[in-house]
Amino acid sequence: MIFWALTKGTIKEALSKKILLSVFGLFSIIVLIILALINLDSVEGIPSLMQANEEFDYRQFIISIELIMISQPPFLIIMTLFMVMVSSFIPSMLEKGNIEVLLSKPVSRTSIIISKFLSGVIIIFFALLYLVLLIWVIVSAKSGVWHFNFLLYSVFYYTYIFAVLYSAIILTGLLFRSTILSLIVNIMLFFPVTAVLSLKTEMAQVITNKPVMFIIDFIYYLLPKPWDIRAIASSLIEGSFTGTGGFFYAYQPVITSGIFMVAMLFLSIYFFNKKDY
Amino acid sequence: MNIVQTENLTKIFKSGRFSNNSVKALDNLSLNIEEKKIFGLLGPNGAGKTTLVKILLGIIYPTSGKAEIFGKNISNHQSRRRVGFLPENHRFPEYMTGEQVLFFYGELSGMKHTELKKKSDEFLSLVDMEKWRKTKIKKYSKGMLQRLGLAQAMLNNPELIFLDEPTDGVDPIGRKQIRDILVNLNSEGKTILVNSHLLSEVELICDTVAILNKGLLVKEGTVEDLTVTENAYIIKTSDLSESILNTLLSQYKAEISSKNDFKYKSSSVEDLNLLIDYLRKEKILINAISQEKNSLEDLFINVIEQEAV
Repeated sequence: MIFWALTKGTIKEALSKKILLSVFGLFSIIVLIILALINLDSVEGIPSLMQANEEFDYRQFIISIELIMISQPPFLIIMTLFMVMVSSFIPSMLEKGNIEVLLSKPVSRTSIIISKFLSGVIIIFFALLYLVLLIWVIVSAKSGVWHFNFLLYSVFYYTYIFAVLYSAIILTGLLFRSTILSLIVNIMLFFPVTAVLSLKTEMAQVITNKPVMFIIDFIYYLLPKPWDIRAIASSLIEGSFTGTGGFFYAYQPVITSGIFMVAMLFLSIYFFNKKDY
Repeated sequence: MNIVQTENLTKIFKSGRFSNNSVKALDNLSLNIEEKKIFGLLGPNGAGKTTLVKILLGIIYPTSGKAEIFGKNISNHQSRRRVGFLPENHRFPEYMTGEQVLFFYGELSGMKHTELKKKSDEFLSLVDMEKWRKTKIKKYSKGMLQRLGLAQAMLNNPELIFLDEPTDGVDPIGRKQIRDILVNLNSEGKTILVNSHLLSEVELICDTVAILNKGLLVKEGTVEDLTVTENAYIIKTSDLSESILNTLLSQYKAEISSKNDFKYKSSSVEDLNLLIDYLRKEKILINAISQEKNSLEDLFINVIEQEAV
């Protein structure tokens, strides 16, 4: 009951700020325009031009079209917009005059943080579901290729990436009580810090200094890995994920990012429970 | 029965993480609030009134000491289940309507939807906000927000209500309405703690008051007991002759207000009776004798000035 009340409050806040609706509207228009311009018909459309190549795989071509729609540049834009959308949740909750009423209710501080986290994740899950479903249904209907893994993996992993980043937004929101400052720190963390760190293997070929490489390694494992998780999701969608090196090695970015998320939430709960307001 | 109990409650605020500067907001405060009373918490700015309320509501933590509400330690958030709170300068989410604010905080207090519907109707009507229920609160005036805040504080049928400056920003008619609501709630058996700078209002509605200064409890008692001046009497009589007035001035050190009204400070009841004997001997009719009363404001200023000395 109390969790649902807090969740509804957060959803109302997200809707009131109109960012969520703007994101929905903007992406709907972009997706619809792009998909309207692309002719996926196997006889008359783009694929017919490529069918001269004997190795051409129509199904794989359609999957790659779907992947382009959520590839690196859209991924960066989508996640940044989502971060903008949720970054004010904690600072606005902590505003003087608001937090006092909230804490005077028979609600534990731990449940406030958990419900803020889960409600943010729920909102983004449905936003992603809408966006991905839109792409999937239109591409599939136009092409006749219904690749369910695209829907499944992209929604699941992108929500997971958001949840990891959101846990850091919650902690920085509690520490700084400033939407702008919290947003700057987390956008810096997401891009460029983790984006650069995702090129660790390539860096290792250039950087020969062992202590420097050790520090890079340390920071890489400490921080979340949204770009690596996105790469895992893409290869799972494509069907090219091999999982070499065992479960932990193959899913290391997912596991270590999960540990990061739990640590951020634990610190947030600890800090929120200790603080006077 | 005491509904709120504090024992040696102390709160020290440190000005910075790495600073040695600290402010003692509450200093070994022991206070009891009886149930079904309207309790006024008075004190100058920085006296520790809001700190005390925030500690009791679990918004800030005490440095040391103990506090209980309904016999439950304040660290247990369930102790706030039967509590209502209107903070000073509250800021409800601006994207909500008045009705949505009540539903949101009502649900957080554990209220069911049907009960909420009934109670929000009842309290919005009580605070005269019925016709603004569907309006976003960012369009509300300060007085309207205060009325809504009061409805929010009463919504979950609390047994104990904390009100921090409840009439702040409200016009005189609205203040009277709020005072009437509080008196009515008290008659229904609710305990109310009012934190206010408007001493005349506190005097009108409170049974008991406590005056805090620099975190210390400097005075506590019923308004009646605290405002009465011991051994000072106002005596109303029939017209006094010039000679009697002179005798009263010279012999009894009375303060003459008019030809039939004077103030007499006696060191004992016997002295008062001697004066009455004298007046009766002179065939003066005594219309009334009453103990002199100070206003709460006078008492407050005296207490704070004495503390400053």
